[in-house]
Amino acid sequence: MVAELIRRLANSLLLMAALFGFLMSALYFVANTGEHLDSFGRSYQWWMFGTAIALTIIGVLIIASVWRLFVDLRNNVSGSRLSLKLVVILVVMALLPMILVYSFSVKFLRSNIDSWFDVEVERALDDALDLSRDSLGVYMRTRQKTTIEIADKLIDIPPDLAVVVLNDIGIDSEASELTLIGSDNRVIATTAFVDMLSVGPDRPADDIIARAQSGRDFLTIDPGKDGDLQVRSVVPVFSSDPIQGISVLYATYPVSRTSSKLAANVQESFRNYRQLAYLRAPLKQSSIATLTLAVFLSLMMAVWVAFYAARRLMVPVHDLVEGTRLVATGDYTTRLVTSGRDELGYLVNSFNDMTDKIEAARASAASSQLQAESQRAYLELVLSRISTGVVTLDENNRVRTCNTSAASILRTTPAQLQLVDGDKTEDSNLFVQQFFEAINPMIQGERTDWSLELELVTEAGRKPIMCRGATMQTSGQVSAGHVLVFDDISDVVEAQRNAAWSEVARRLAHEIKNPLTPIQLSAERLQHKYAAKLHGDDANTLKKLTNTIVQQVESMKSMVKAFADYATTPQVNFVPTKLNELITETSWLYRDGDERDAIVLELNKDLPAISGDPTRIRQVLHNIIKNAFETNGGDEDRKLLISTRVGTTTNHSFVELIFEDNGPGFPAGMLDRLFEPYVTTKKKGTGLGLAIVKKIVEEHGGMVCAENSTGITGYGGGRLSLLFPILVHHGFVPGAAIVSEPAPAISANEFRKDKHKDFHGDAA
Amino acid sequence: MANSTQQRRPAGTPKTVRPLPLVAMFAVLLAASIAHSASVRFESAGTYVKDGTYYLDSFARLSLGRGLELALANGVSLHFLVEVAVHKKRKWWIDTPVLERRLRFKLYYYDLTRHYRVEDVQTGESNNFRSLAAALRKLGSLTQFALIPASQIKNRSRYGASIRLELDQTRLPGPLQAQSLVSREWQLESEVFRWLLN
Repeated sequence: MVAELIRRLANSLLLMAALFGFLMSALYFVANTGEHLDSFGRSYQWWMFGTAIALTIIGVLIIASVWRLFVDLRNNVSGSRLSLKLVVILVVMALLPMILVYSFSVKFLRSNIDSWFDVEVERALDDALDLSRDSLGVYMRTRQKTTIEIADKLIDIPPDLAVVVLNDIGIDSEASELTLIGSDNRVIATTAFVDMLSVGPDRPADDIIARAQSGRDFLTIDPGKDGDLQVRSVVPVFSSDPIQGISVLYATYPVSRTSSKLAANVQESFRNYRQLAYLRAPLKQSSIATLTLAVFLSLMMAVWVAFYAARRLMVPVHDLVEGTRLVATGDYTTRLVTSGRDELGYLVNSFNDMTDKIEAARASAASSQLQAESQRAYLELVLSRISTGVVTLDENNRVRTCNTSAASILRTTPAQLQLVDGDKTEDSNLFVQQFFEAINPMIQGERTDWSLELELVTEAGRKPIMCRGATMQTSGQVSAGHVLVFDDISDVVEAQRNAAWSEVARRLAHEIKNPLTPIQLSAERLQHKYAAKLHGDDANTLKKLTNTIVQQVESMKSMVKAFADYATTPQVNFVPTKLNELITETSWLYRDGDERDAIVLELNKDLPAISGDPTRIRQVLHNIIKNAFETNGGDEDRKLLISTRVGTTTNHSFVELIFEDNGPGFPAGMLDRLFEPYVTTKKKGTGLGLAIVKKIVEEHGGMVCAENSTGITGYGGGRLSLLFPILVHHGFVPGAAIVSEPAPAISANEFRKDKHKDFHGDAA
Repeated sequence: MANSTQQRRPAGTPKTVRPLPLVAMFAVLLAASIAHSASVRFESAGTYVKDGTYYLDSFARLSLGRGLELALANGVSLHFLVEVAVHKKRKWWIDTPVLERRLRFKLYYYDLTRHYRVEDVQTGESNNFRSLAAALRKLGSLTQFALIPASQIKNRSRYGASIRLELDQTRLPGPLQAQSLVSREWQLESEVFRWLLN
């Protein structure tokens, strides 16, 4: 509290200006008193008292400043060392000329005051005083003579006549007053104009009268009441009669006013000179004291100004140092207050500019980083969404990054895939091992871009993979790793196979169908022409043989027709189709005969419509129902459950049509190729039934999958699922037909997440 | 000159003192003041009633000391203050001043006629003395000084009077003022002399 007050006072320019102003005035006053011989009354003491207080205050404040600087130095406060240097330099700068001026001033002061006094002048003044005294002495002695003469005239004058005689003499003499005092010390007579009763005449002191009565004269000159000099003379008046005793005559004589004034002037001059000479030493001392005080005051001012200037100058320096420290610790929000237009102010402005720029650069870097981060996240998102697997390897052939599709294709998880070392894949699954075994030779080869088709083989089947690789190279042509992009091309291979089969079917139909009719006609003609001519066994044999030819040709025709159906792609007319109605309608056809009560329907009443061609879908239904019943053969308890429901995956909703029977199910080895042409377990059949089903369903954007029912939920036989996209209505225009289109096709990959494509062989 | 035998030669020109630093000078002055210091002491003071007025007679013995005598001999005028006061005494409380008089006297040496002069500054009356001792006696004595009408004093025993005499330092010449603040040589001040009115 007190320390803070002292600090503020020490920094207060106003207080210091007031104190130094007062001290300057005091100094001026003291200097005046020192030079003048006049007195200055009590004000001198007040000035001195005030000076002492002001000096004490300034001293305390300076000591406080010194102490503060010392503490700052000890605490290593920024700018304190520079402050110390500045203070020392300023004080020394002030001190050196001050000492020089002081020493010379003292020297000049002494010699100057000494030069006031001149022996000649002093002697002249002494002489003048002596001359005055002599001149007055002559005058006095003359008057003494006159008094003695008057006294002689008064000898033996009786007291009664004394007054008359004295007045007579007084009129003639130059005496201003004559008084005769008797031996009894009483005034006998006087020429003074006095009322004897009330006021006595001026008379000498008793000791002087006694002196005169003892016979000794008294003569003196002294200033009178009016200030003029007067000569006083006391002489005895002897008497011839010893009994009467000695009277005393007291006479006063005025000195002429001119002489008196001149004498007074001489006296005054002499006195002043004497006083000045006497005061020479105190004068010098007080002058030197004044000078010392002035120097001391200047020194204090210099010290204080040094501290003040150091503080003022150090403020921006201190701020700069602190600001730099803050910037070093990473705080770029620091802004310093501009101190002025000088170089320090320029420095402060530069500092502020610098922190502005650093902050802007930092913000820009952060924004760039954020942008890069978001781009990276975006890229990751894209990679995770594509079905193509992407893996990057570092220069040591270790997996660096991979996307989910890559892990999915290789039947592992992204986390596990990222731990894989391409050179050591023993711990990984079979797919990963095969994959890296296949690509390692390509990676280690010299080609920077390559592509490889490989097949991963497991117990569950084969998986064809198309892999492309590229070497990442830095600017110095050093390999920084590899990028591998690979796809599961099972669908592509399958599509290629289907296309090939279609071509085969088309050619077979074309090449075989043409000769069949002539063969059949020929056989019938043979029978017609030669049946009548032959008898007995021959006729029967002919008939049997031609019938066989005709039947086999019929059979071949139907087979060729089936091929033709598979191979041709009829125009499909998509209309909004209610699946439930088609199922009900078709199953109705199988109500009679052996299939009665064999078909059970579990249809979802709220099943949405699909976009489809009813004719083609009927063909699908016929194919599957016939296939199911043919598989069961003549079993009396055969059952076929047809159900519909709405299914969803993560991105799609679809209509699912499920067939389940209580047959033997699909052979496990055939599930993989169940929908390929000519795959069948039946003795009779083209093997095209399910192939056509698959073809039609795919034309509708849907997909087929087959599995063996577990028996817990179903009938324990084969289970066939058909998925159709739900019809999406885009809008309704009054007076116009409903504009609709099939929803996006269901991707096999997407669906495979939920269901394995485990088809089992089923003869069509 | 005259045949007066009590002439007193004033001291000659002051001894030239080489200027010394301030501290040394003060030390020397302090030592000097202890060696031969000025003093003033009231020996008697009393009041009496005459013609319905209280009169004061007092005598103080003054000694100037070497420094003041030297200054006086070298033309410096010395101013003296005599303060006379009458108080009404009160129990449990400070006295009430009834009268306060301040008399000023000036003592100086007149070279031409070799007199010491005592001048009453207020009335302008002056007395010349051949000897300093006579001048000091005059300065220290008050005779038949009319103080206060007796009618103003109701109960004598409850009134007290006091007197003190001092050298007025503030009237010293400028160069001596700094010294007078620190040196006892220039400090001439009597203690307050008190008595009861009767």
